[in-house]
Amino acid sequence: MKVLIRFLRRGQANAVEAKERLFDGEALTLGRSTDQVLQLKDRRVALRHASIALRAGTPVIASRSPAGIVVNDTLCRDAALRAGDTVRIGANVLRVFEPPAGIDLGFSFELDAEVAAEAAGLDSRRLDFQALSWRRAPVNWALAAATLALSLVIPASGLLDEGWQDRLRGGPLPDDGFWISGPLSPAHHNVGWRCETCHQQPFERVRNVACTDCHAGVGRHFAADGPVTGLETMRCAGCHAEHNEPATLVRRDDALCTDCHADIAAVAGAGAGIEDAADFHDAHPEFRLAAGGPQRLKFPHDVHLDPEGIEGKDGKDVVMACGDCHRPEADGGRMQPVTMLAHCADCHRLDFDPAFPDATVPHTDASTVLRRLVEYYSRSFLELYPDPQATAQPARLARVPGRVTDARERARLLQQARERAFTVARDLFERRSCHDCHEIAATGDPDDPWKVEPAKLRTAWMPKARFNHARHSTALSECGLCHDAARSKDAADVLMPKIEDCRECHGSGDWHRNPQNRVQSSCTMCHGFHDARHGAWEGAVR
Amino acid sequence: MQESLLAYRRMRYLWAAGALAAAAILAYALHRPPEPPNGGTWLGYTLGGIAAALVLLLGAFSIRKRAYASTLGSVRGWLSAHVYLGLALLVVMTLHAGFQFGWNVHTLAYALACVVVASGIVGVWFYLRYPEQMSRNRAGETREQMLAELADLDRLCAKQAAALGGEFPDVIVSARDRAALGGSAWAILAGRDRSRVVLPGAHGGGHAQPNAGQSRLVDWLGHELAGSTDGERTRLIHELMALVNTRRGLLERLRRDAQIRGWLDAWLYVHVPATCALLAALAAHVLVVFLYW
Amino acid sequence: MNAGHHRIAIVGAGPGGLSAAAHAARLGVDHVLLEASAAHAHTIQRYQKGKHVMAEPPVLPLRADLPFEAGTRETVLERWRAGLDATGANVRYGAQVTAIAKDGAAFRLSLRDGGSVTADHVVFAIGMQGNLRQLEVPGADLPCVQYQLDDPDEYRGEVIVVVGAGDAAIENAVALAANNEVAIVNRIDEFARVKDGNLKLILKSIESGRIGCWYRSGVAAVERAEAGAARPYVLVLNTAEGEARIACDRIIARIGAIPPRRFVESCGIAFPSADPMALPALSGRYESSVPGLYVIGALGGYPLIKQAMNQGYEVVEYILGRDLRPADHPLFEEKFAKLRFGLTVDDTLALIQERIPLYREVNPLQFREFMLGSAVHRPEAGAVIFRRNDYTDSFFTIVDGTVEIEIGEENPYRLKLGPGQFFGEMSLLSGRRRSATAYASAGCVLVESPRREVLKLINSIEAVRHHIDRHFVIRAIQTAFAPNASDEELEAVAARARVNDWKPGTVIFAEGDEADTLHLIRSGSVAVSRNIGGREIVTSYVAAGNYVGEMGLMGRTRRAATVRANVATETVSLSAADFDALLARNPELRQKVQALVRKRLAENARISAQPQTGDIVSFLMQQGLGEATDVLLIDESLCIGCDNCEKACAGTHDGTSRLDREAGPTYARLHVPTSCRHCEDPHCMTDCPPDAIRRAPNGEVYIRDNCIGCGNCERNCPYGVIQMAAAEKSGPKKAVKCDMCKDLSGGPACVRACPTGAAIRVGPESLMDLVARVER
Repeated sequence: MKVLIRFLRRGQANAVEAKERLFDGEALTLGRSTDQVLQLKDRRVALRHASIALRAGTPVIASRSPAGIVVNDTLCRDAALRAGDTVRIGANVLRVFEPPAGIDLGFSFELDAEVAAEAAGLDSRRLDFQALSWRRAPVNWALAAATLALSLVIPASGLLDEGWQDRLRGGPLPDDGFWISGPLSPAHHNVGWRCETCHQQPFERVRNVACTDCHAGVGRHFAADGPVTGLETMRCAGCHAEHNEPATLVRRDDALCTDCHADIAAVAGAGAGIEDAADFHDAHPEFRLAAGGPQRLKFPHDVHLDPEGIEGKDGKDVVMACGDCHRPEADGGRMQPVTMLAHCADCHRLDFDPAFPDATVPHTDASTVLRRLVEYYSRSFLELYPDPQATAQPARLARVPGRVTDARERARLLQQARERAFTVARDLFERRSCHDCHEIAATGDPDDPWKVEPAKLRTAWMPKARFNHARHSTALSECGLCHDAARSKDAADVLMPKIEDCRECHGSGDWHRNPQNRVQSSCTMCHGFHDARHGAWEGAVR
Repeated sequence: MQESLLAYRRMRYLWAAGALAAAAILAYALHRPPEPPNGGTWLGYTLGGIAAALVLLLGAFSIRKRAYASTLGSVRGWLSAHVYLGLALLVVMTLHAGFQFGWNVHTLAYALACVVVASGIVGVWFYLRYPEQMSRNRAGETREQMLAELADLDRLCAKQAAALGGEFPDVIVSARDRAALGGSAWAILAGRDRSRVVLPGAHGGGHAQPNAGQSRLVDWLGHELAGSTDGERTRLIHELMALVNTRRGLLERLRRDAQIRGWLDAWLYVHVPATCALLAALAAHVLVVFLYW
Repeated sequence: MNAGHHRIAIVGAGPGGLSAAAHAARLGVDHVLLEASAAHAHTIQRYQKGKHVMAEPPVLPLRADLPFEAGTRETVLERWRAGLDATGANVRYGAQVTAIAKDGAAFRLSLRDGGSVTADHVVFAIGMQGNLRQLEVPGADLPCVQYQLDDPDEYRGEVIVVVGAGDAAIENAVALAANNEVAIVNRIDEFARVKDGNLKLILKSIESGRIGCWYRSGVAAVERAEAGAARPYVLVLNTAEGEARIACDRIIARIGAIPPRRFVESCGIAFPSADPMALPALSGRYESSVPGLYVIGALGGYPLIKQAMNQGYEVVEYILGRDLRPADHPLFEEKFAKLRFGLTVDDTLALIQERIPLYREVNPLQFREFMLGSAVHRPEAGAVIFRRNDYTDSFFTIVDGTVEIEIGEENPYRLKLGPGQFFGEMSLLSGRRRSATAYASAGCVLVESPRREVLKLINSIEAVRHHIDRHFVIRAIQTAFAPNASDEELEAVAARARVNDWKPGTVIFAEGDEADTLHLIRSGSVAVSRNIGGREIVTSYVAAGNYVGEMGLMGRTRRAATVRANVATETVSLSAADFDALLARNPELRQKVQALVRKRLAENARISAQPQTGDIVSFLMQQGLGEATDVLLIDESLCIGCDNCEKACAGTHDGTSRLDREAGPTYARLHVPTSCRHCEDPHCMTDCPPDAIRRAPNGEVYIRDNCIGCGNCERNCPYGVIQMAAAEKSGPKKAVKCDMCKDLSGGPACVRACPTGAAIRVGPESLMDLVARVER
């Protein structure tokens, strides 16, 4: 495209000076910027305001700024230029005239003299960053207001109306979830981002009722009528802090306990019978085993654990291990209780008649056993004539089955059977099977002549502490490291380890008093705050 | 000659801020809260209180700066304290947060404070770096003087060009009109020379061409000079060239001056609005903490 | 008694003449008031339009039959005119008196128009302005020629030629140049004898092309231009290059006035000295050496309107033979009440004048005036009158009792002064801090006179100047070299010592000269420079109160450095012989001087190694730091251009910043913004009609609220730091300048508001330290 531009300047007495310039290029650009073909000097003009290019052979002026251009006093976006047209952009006037041959477009260009004068003087404002950039004050206020609205006002508006709160939570606007100070612990995810579940009253700390709504029946630390007051008013959240990373809902620090237990007498009075404990390693009383009398069981661990072996059920010698009797519970924590049936009966069979080794007495109280024996022998004496002397021949063959004896005979047989049962029972209770393990005393009552003391086996020797065998299994795979069973001759031996044994690995609750790489052992490692005696914790969630 | 604002009074505020930060770190290290460290432990509340007080104190600089009759220390001392305590704030508030962050109003306040402190650090760097450059660049002249000088040079160039006639007046006028100087905030900060010039026929066919550093114009003048056979004309072109060179230097200096002063101001366009947002976020943070206690 | 005879003829219808005529008219005394111009109060008529006229001194009651209070020029003139009409005074305008001669018992007053008037008594109230000189060339009577300029804003777009090169011409030319094309015609090729401020103003205007200047040119003629010319008149000039013709609209001739003294002397009135500033000798009743001839107003030494009006009233009373206590009598009564001398005011004044030899030669009226401005004290025994390093500059004379002056810092020595002696002249003359502490003893009675009053006295009475000068020398020697020498011992040395005035830039002594004198710098400051590598390098700056030249004298060699006055400087020079004698008196002194020599030698060596330091010193001297007592500097390596200093200044001073940070020169990181230097002898103070510019006890030069906005100080300040600004939008413009925030606790707001510590204030004491720090 070839364009002839005629620059007009009005001099004195309105004399017009003209200067011509020929443009040859694709598009003639107009604007305030320095790179425009035609530089327009007016502050109102955009940097790149318009361009003129050929469209299908016709020169067309098109606006490149939102302001548009005025062609023949009509505001438009683009227009074809014909001779006689007048284009105004700011103070600049373009008048199109008939171009000479070989030229696509010709126009005169005139600039308002005053605007030119204004533009000629260099304005120091153009160099002043402060003058050219946005004014800070409105932005400051706007930013502050927006921040306040988004982080406080809008979320807080949900507190006024539940319906609106729900809509906020569903919508894109910030809700009170924006206020969360840390992730909710997974246990509480069922709360479902409803802050008001716990934060029931604004500006009030989370109340215990918010916890006990769900966690009903949580055990108290001690009985409500105990000697210490004040603990009833303790806040659940005082120990169970939510919204924390890493998520720890339970206090693990010693101070939880030692605040009182370091000098428990000061809190609970001297007569409470509780010893002071301030630190597992440095200040903790010796383990105190559960109260209760002798076990009343004759059980030498050493015999059973004889490395040479012990006579088993088939008379063969077997070598026993701890695990043969002591099986951990499913959670690996404590051991399952040892029972006669499961663990002893294989070897310690309760048969009483060598002729019928399969006949056994139940493992129960003496009178029942005696009754069973009387019944057993009565039946066999009545069915078959018994010949107690002819033990070499089977008794049942001595009589013809189905033969009815007379009453005298019957009474004699029953008397014999009874005597026999007593004899066998005496053997059982006073010399053999029962007597092997149990302590038995004669009562002098012919109907119930023996009293068997039941064995008192314990599953928890230290009921106020937790112990998990599984946790220790890798480190202490040999039970003997803690429980000196191999040398125990008496069932009365308590094989629980001493506190010193634990302290070999378990150190103080305070890491910097824990010098030899011992396990840092806080109170809560073994003890719980909530006492199961006063209510259960587990499974209490409604 | 004078110590810098960082060295004010043997860096007393550095020591103060350092002591504060060190005390906070020590307390944090020794603190054994029953739960993970966070803003809700007693140390958390304490550090939070200190941090909030610091923010207010730092914000009060803006008030003190304008309270010209105030005798509450010198502004210089305030600024020195502002800088160092701002850095200490970074430590104190991080410990207050217990390194717990999330998408919430609390972290928003923290992030805004970080933006404010970071922009402040940039500002201090500018303050330390630019004044000397600005002074050197100005060579004792004010901007108005330089602009007046430029106007004089423009006039002289135009006069010289008119004397030469031919293409000269148009070229010189276009170089004058299309000399880019400032214009928009970004143009000032970038400091790029987007000057252009329209050269006649053989040298560009009337198109505006980049003329950064007036190099195109000087090239053209050189070309004209080489082609000149008339002694008087050669002398005039020489003189014009000298004027153009002086003008080029002046343009550079003006542009650089605007740029330096622009940057000395520009960082405040982040610092101050971010501070306002921070104050709002801080207010929300404090309120919300107690709203959902 | 013929019609041309009056009992009293009053010459000049200024405030004094008007008041006299009005009083005479009211008393029915036959009188005539002769006024050369066409209206009353010619000087005030020539004031700029709307100018505020003051009623100073405010304490003095007005005693006249014409009303007067402070107000605009127009109100004052209008009220006088109305008052004059009301009293029916006999005024003859356009009657210029050309001669007065004794004609028998009466005086004959010849008038310019050829007539004459006779009178029994003549009252001279002609003021100091004299008659305006007029152009005496062809065409001088054309309407385009005028001799005064009321309102420069009246003229716009005209071509105006101002003839003359004095202050008035320059002020008119500069004012007119705002809206007109102005040329100024100067007979010689420089502007001599003008105020510094005006000199700078005109040279700047000429340099920038705003005002054209015809040097070495005189007016040859004024002509009407040919018809059709662009400008209606043509001024023809004789220039060094030949005749020049300037087409113009207007010619303003400000070619000075004929001073009245010659005329006054021609009437037989005697003056006490040839000093052009001297006032005629007058009695207490304003009667001159010619009986029956009275002098009142400015010519008699009373330049203030209120005083002149009072005198006009009083002189008529005196002529009528009545006794009248002067208007200031109650003021004196109050002032002297605490003296408990039991004497009348006049006797007390006479006693004081008699007691104090310094004042003996002052005429009683002048002394009365002087005492009116002074204060009388009866300090408690042991009271401190002023302390060393105070910035006060008042002057004390001892009427009774004794005063002890403690000289020296390390081994203070107390000098005892008795009645009739004076002290405080060191600070008075140097403008610097007090160099000693003064203690009163029991029964001490002192007169404390403000600097301005004393300077007036010094300038008008040679004897006073001489007395004070000699005393100054003695005290200066005592302070510097011989604290324990008595006045008598030093009398001879003092008599031989010379007081030298040095213009700025003059060489006091040059490197290589023979060392024969020692200079004690009394006021101003000097720069010491050495020729290093062919270049003159300033090595140090020595402020008033110190001495230079000792190095040459100690070694009795040639001068090792050049000493040049930075600003207008006064030194007291001692000959080598006298200096030796002083050294001989006091062996400690020799050590002291030697220590100083060593210090200066070390400094020289350091500066020689770092010649740039010298450049910094000379730069600072150029910027007027040589006379500064406290100046604002900006360390450009720290300045971020936030303008907080200006904002703080404006914020604490009615919204007008008294400093312009950006303006002002820069050298080696040091920027000297346009801001007051608190000069030791402030240029701004030299011509302040209401005496509004004061120096506060801590050295701050400030402008009081009674500023009338005349703009003299703005023009006189060579550093351009005073501006005229209105406190409120519509309020009158007053001069404002830095007052170092003297009313704010905590020091100057600009420095306190600088966030980076770039703005600092330095005094002469710390200047060299600063320069050393710039180097680092």
